[in-house]
Amino acid sequence: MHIPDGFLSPQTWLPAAALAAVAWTWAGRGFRDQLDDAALPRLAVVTALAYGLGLVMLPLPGATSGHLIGVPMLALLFGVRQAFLACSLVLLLQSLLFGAGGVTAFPVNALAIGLAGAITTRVVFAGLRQFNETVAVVLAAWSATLVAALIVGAVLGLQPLVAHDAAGRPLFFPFGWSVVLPAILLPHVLLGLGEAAVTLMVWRFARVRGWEGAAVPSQPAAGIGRSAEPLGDGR
Amino acid sequence: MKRLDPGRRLARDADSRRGRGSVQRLDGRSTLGHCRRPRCPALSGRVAGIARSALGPAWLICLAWWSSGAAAHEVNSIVRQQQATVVILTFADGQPFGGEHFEAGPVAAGTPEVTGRTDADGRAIVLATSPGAWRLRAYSDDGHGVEVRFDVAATDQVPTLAGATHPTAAAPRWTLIILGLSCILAVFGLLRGRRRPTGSPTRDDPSAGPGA
Repeated sequence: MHIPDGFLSPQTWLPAAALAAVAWTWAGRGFRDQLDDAALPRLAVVTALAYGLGLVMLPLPGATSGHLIGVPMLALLFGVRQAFLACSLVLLLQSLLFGAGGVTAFPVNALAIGLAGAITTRVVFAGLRQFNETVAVVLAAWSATLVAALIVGAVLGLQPLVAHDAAGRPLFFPFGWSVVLPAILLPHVLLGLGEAAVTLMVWRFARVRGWEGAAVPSQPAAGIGRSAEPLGDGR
Repeated sequence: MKRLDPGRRLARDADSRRGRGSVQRLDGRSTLGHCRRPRCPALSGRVAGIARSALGPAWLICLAWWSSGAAAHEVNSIVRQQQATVVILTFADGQPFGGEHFEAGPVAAGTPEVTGRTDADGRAIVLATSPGAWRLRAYSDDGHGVEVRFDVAATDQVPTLAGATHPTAAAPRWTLIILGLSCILAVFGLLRGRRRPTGSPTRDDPSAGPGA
């Protein structure tokens, strides 16, 4: 899902960089309040897990492949701010070390995958957990994958409209929404299932062990960036 | 002797040795953690616990096995030139980036002069019209791709995918994975200085604390 360099026009990635800078500042402000001695190493481990999952390529129909993003489990266990920062770190490393995602496209990738994915996870989970917590985790992770893919596809499909020469030829990514959205969303319908399975597994692991630093939202508003209640029973 | 109720066992407990002579009826719910009955809840619970704990690793093993057949994501590039410039595009695992769109042109011109699709070996063949710095951009419908810059008339080697090295993959993939993990741990190690001690008050909740 990472957008490479050279696919986005400056009129796309420059405003995205400014927006991402604001978002990173907002996320960094609450960092100290939300992470204590116990939560910090857990966040490090789950971030490393998200990094590893992002490098495992899963075969998909159509001779293509995809990978998990790890944002839902970060958001469920630690909140939107920490998930956004941790995911940004993962995306930056994948970009610099593997070329998976461009440097100029990094703000867009971070906003789409890290921020939008994390917010979607918390909102969907908060809305559904009263019915069934397992279903809420699964749907939250699946929805986050699709929303992130939708935003990436929307940004890519926007390029022919905002950056073209006098003859109308696209200067950057050449395909419009009618091509790029199905090409991105359909594989991520399947990838979202894998994301949901891994997220549920990690969620249960953390819940059984009562990660006090990890928290779940009691309300959508409280869920964005703030720990609301202990995850487990403290065992 | 008193006849026992079928399916239940009678036993004299330690009280009988202390002279009370009471008889307790023991059912299958032994508190000793084990019993010889075939449907012992303690034993079945232990088996279920082992099965549950094995489920997590089993999931990961299945995931790893499934992923072994997948093509990697990153698109690497090789530039070789003879009469034409051939840019060989592969995924990180060596699979060719074949049948995908590409366009190339001088960097200074800004617009592509050559467009086409990579062949089955992931080769984009460019007949450059002018010397100097050129840029090739290859992409698939779903947003994967790469942008490569090359200097026209720089080399004269015959382009082949077999045996080619990947300049953009500067190090083996596993070393990059370990490097990335090390970076993550280093960043969080540095952040230890900014963490909040457990139980200390937060900005939002000054009353919270060890004594609160």
